[in-house]
This record gives sequence, C-alpha cells and structure tokens, in this order.
Amino acid sequence: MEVAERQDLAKELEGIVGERYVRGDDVVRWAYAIADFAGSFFHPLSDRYGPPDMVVKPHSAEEVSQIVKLANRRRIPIIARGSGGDMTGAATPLKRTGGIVLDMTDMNRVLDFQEGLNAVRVQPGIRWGELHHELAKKGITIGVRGPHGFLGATLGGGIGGNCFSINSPKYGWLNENILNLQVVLPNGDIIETGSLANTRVKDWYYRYCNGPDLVGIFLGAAGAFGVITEFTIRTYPIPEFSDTLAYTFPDADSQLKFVFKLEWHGYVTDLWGISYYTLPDSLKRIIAPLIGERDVAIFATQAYDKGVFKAQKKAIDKMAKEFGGMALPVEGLTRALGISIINETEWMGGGTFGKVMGPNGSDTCSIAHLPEWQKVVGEALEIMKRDEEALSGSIPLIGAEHFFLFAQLLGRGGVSNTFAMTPGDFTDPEKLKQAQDMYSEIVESYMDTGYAALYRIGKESQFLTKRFKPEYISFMKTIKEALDPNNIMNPGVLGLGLEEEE
Amino acid sequence: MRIDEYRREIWTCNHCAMCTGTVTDEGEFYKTCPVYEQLRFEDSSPRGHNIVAFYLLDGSLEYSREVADCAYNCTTCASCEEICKPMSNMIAQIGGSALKALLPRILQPLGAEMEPIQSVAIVEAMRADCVDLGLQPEPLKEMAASVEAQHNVYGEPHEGRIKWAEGLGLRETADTVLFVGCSVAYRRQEIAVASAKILAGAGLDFAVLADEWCCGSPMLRAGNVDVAATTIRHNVGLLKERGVKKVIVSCAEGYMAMRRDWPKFAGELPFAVEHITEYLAGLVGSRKLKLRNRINKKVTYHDPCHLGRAMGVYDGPRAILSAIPGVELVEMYPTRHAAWCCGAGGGLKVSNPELALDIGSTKIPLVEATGASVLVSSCPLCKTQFMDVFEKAGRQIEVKDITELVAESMGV
Repeated sequence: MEVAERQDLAKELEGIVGERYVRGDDVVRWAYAIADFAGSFFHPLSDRYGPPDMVVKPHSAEEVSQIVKLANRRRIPIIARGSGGDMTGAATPLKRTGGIVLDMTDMNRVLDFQEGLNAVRVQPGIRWGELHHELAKKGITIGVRGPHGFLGATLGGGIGGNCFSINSPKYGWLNENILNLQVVLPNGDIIETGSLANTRVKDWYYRYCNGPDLVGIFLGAAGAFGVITEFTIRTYPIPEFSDTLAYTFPDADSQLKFVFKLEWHGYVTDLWGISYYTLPDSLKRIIAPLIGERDVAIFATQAYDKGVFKAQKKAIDKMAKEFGGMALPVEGLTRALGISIINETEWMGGGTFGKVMGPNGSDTCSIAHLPEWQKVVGEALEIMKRDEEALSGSIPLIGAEHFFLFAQLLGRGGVSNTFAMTPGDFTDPEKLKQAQDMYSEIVESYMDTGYAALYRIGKESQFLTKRFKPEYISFMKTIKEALDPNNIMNPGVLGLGLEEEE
Repeated sequence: MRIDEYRREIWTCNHCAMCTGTVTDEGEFYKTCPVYEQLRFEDSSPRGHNIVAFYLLDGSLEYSREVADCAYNCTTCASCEEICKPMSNMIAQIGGSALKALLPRILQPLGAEMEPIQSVAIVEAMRADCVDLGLQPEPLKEMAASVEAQHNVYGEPHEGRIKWAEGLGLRETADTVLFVGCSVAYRRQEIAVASAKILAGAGLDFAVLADEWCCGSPMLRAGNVDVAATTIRHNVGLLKERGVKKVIVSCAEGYMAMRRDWPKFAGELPFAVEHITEYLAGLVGSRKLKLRNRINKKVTYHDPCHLGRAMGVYDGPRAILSAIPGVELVEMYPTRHAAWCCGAGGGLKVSNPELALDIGSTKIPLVEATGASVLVSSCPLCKTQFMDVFEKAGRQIEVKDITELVAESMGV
C-alpha cells in the first residue's frame, strides 16, 4: 500500500476508533508480522507473510462493524488477532494482500455473570489468565484451562483456532463449551446466535434454539466468516478435591484400554500418556531402572465431595489393575508439594518450549483417535531417526537427543494429540532446510493416517485441505462467497480465497 | 549491530505471549509488562521488542527514531523474564521465590537450560545500537553528558556529592565503604543520612567517598555502554586504591550494577558487595540491631525490580520490617518475584516521564488494597517515583525508604 493511501486509511480509521488506537508506522507493522510461537519454520523464513498495512484496536462491536464496512468499501483484508499465539498464520497477513490487523486485546472484559445461569459472557480479547482470575474470585471456573498453560493467549484466538486445552478430557474442548456468539459479519451486520437471536432475550444463554446452530460455523474458522466480538461460555464450580495419579502398564494396548475406560467413566480431568519406546535414550536410562520398560499414564482426577473422591480413586485403582496397571506413588508427592502436575496452568509455557526446542524449532501437534497414536508415532520416529543429523540447535531438558514424542488425551472420545519436535539450526541453512523438509514429511505422514488438523486450520492448511473431500471444500467456498463476496475476511484461511495463487 | 550478540536468544523467543500480559493465581502474577499495559500495541511488549530485534537482524527493518521509541519504552523491570522462566509458575507454587532462584542452579549441570529469553538484555543492546547511531532520546543524551561531565545523572556539581554527610563526622577511609549512588546523594539525602546513622549506630567502622561516581547502571540501561565502562572502571579503581574490603550500597540499582555489571567491565571485584538491607538483615538475625522505638503503623513493602527480580533479595527487607516493634507488615498482591514495577526504571522516568507516572499510578489500587498507611521500599528511585505518583493522584500514602524506618526505630 502506498504511503498516501495508508495515511488516508489511517484518517478514516481514526475517525472510527480514535487516533490513539490506530498505528501504521513500520515498527508496529513489523511487530505484528509474526504471530505464532515456535513457528519460525513458517513465518520469518516464508515469503508468504508480511506486515499489515495498519493495526487498529477496536473497543466495541459497533467499531468493528464500521471498520469492516470500511474494509469492504476499500477492498482491504481484515485479520482479527488476539494475543497472536497461533501457529497457523491465521493472525498474520499474507504479503500479497496485506490488510488491517484488528488487535482485539482491548476487548477483554467479563461482561455478565449471574449465579444460576452457569455461563459467563465475555469479550474475545480476554486472556486465559485474566478470565481464570476473574472467575476464581466468584469460586467458579470454565473448566478448560488454556492451551498448554499459555495464559497470555486470548480466548478469541482459541475459539477461532479450535483450541484444545488442559482439562479437555473432562470438560471438552473450548469450543464445546461455547453457547452463544456475537459476531460482526463480513457486511458489517452484528448478529447474536442461539437464544440471543430473540429480541426479548437479554441474558439467557442457550445455543441450540431458534433454528439451526449458527454458532458452529464461526468456531475454528479463524475469522474467515466474521469477527467474534462477544461469546458466552459454560461455567462450573471449582472442584474441591484434586489429585495427580499415575500407573504403569505392561504394554501400549493395556495403557490405551485403561485410558478409554477412565475417560468414559468421567474420572479423568487431564492425562498424559508416555510410551516407553518413543522416549529418548537418556530418559529410557533414567526410567527403566525405576519402573521397567512400561508405558505410563499420568493424570488428574477431581471431585466436589470427599466421599465421592475417595470412591472415585478406589474405582480408578480397580480399573488400572484390570489392565495390569501398577500405581506410581506420585500422589503423595504432589499432594505434599501442594500441586497437581497435570491440571495446573503454566507448566509448559514461557521459555520452556523455546529452550527445549531451540531456535527455529517447530512441533507437529496434530490430533487423532488414540488407537492411531502408536502407528503415527512409529512413522514419525522412523523419519526423525533417519535424518537425525538435521535436527540440531535444541536444548532438551534432560539428555542430548534432538527430538521426542509423547501423547496427550485431548478430549472426550479418546481424542489425542501427538507432539513431534523438530528443531533446526537456523545458522546452518542446509540443516535448517533438512529439518523443515522433515517437518513437512512428518505432518504428511500424520495426515495420511487420517489425523485431523490441530494447528493446521489457519493459512498453513495446505497439509489438510488437499485431503478434504471436494464436496466439503465446495460447501465451505459457497458459504465464504455468500458471506464475504469481497473476500476481505482473513483471506488464505483454510485455503479460502486463494484461487489465484493456487 | 550490538543486538547480533543476542541473535540466538532473539530466534529462540517463541512469542508465546506470556510476557504481553497474564494473571496467574498460581504464579501470583497480576500482569506481566507494565509498559504494554499502558501502550497496548505489540511493539511496546517484550515479545514485540524481540520481534523488532528479529527484523532488524533480518534487514526488514532499519534503526530509526520509531525503533528508538520502541526500545526506550521499557522499564527493564524483567517481569517478562520472570514469567518466561520455564515452568516458572509451577516452581513458584511449590517453593516460592527461593526454589525459583535455586532450581536453575541445580538443573543446569544436568544439561537443562532454565534461563528465560533475555528480553531486557536484548532491549539494552537495541538501545546501545541507538546510541551508536545517534538515535537516543534527548533527555537520556543529556543524562549521559551529565555523567561524563559531573559523574552523576542529575548534572549536579560533583563537589557536592557528599554534602549530605556534613556534620555527621564520617570517615574518608575504612575497610567498609557506604556507596550511596547519585539518586541518594543528590535527591534522596534522607536515605543517605539514615543509612550512615544506622551503620554508625550499629558500631560499624565505615567511610564515604567524595570521589564516588555514578555506578554506571543508568548508563548501561540507557545504552551508553562506553560511558558506563569509564565510570565503573573509575569506581573500581578508587575502591581498590583505598583497599576497601566491603561495599555497602543503599541503592537497589547500584547494588545490581556492582554485583552483576561491574565484573563484566572490571573483572573480579576484590571487595564484597552488600545491599544495606542484606547487611541490616544480618544484624537483625544476630540480634545486634537495636530497634527500640515502636512504630505503630501498617506498612507494605514494594520490591524494587533491580533488587528483587534482578538479584533475588526478597527476605532481608521483610525480616527487617518484621523486627521493628509495632510495625504490621502486610503483603501486596502481587509481590516478590511477581511485584508490579513502579514505572521509573530503565531510564523511563527520564525519557518518558508521563508514561512512567501512568505506570506508577497503576500501583495505587494494589497499595490501597493492603490498607497500609506507609509504602516502604529500598530504592531511592522507587521512593521518588511513588512520592510523585501519590502527589499527582492526591493520595495521602506515606512513602519511606526502609532505612528511614530503621533509623526512626533505633532513635538515631
């Protein structure tokens, strides 16, 4: 965009939100040119992405609506962004299109909570940490605790990115808890969904009424169909009793059967599974003498009543023994320390990922039905071992290996997540290229097993969309064209609006 | 470019957004970055600084006045680094600040890197580049010129550095030296007087040096590395020449500079360095500090960033306050490693005083929530800042340095 055009655009935007909330200087534009963690494989090295033309901070749905109308008139893309923690390019403009980044982080208030509603009305720019803090004052929780404890992430981004969460095995994914939305459509109209579509309703939040469920179309859409400006989410009382439990199992099959049963009965709040054979040798050397070559399930369990809690743990122990499980004594240790290893908040956040993976590392998080996990991991391990010399620059927590894999139970119905970390040394272009190629190969292998996309629904969706059924793509395109004929809403998400490039 | 030294750190930052703002009950953080909370655009956040540094290295961006504004809008409070420490909240939850400080030392020999991204060092390197390119904000250029001309950041005559000591009968040579620093010597003389009286009252044989220069910290924080090097080498030379065995510092920033920065410029120091709160806490522990007079007040303690987060001094000041008869110490939320910055550090009070006051004013509700009538700190810059903040806001909260309360209780 030419300087004069940008200045003109800035004036119009300032007329909507005020001078203080519009920036178009180079420093701020480049500061918004990376919007992901550990995604340096993609963004800085990719010539697909670039800085926005303008960054705007709206404070109301009405302001967003006016900005969207302006963008339509000028045919300028709109990219809504929360704290910019996504790994998919969803919050970064494409270089060829540029656009206006709507920094939503000032729309961060808890709007409405009334006892008896069991739901809270929130603005999307609120951070996980802020929401937990505000709700804890009232003795309630939304159950889901956030993506790996990155409490600086915003809920709006989580909704747009189909975020799974710590505690999802008990409470479901973030989007499974969303009841209503307020959305600014691509034409600037402001709609409310579900029970709020009724003009007589002010504060009754129900999703499945007044016709089809129009909430779902905006969830996981990364802003392709509209900008979410408010949402309602379920709340729960904070469980009074919580413990971290762990069992070892003779083989992966026994471990999986136990996990399924545990989850089916609703006893597990969050769970990590460790398969012995996927561990780096350094960890094997530590673990084998302690517990043998066994697979581990470590998980949190919670209850509201002491009697129920005791009975629940007894039932869990019985279940584990049914599948050859042996208890690991982590419960007493974590209780003595006053923590829960699993379902607390920020244990993977901050520098952990960066320092574990090293510069330019990337991980290949993807989701699958848990029984597929062993197969997927097996293929990824083969690829990583084959080209191990390409993986460098990482600083593992313990040991010297450059990669590791593990699985997490992500939600109800045995939905699991697999991490394969592929750090590459950015100072060596050849090795970096090898690591990037390895990354692509691993993701392709995941997708070929029918793995669903986790971090692949933004603009880095090429691994996924090429496997979509044609009718499904056609349906999405029809919706996109109907809602957003000028293709201004985050072009490139899920490959929508990129026909020319393709 | 000086930021090239931090290339690996800059690439390692995974932009996870913890440093742009969070509230964690487990980790006791209220928010993370005081500047970002005011300016609210990404380029004012630690992550934003790292991204700007990335694109400076990459060549997409060039240094400019705007880049300088971005780099200088930081209090160097290091709250970002605290939240960035791997597993920081969990560790703090288990063992508090002590375990947080200890764990990296235990785990590092095992091959685990527990250090956060060095966001403050990156921003200071950006500032040093700005100095090299003539892009430093004018008020900071003037401050550096003052240090070069008069060896203090206020441009006051060097001859008046120990004017505060007149009539106290202090020595000019001794094994122990009280190093007061520019802010105490020229702006908060009451701290200097209280410190000297306490040490004398405790029976310590100590001296003050008329030729003490700026500690160098304000210069390093502002990017004036060469000026800092000169002043640090002068001070170290002076202390060596006088055969000093121990330096007691009454300023948080000066203490940080001596312990952390001086060895980088002057090698291993041949003398010990203690902050005055460490020294006094030792006396409290051995029951040698005669705290006689009751001070019947509810007080809350503000952890100076450069004493707390930077140097891990949390317990000493609290032990001292708890030992004063009549004092009721109430903790603020957040506190210790998660304490909210006063807004004055990193040269911000000089380069952008309005922003510094805005940041400081966000501390008012945190102080008021404690019900304390006195806000105590152990840093002259924090004291000045809070006096300015409360005056502007028309609040009647008394601000004291910890040495003033001790002196009052000792009756010296």
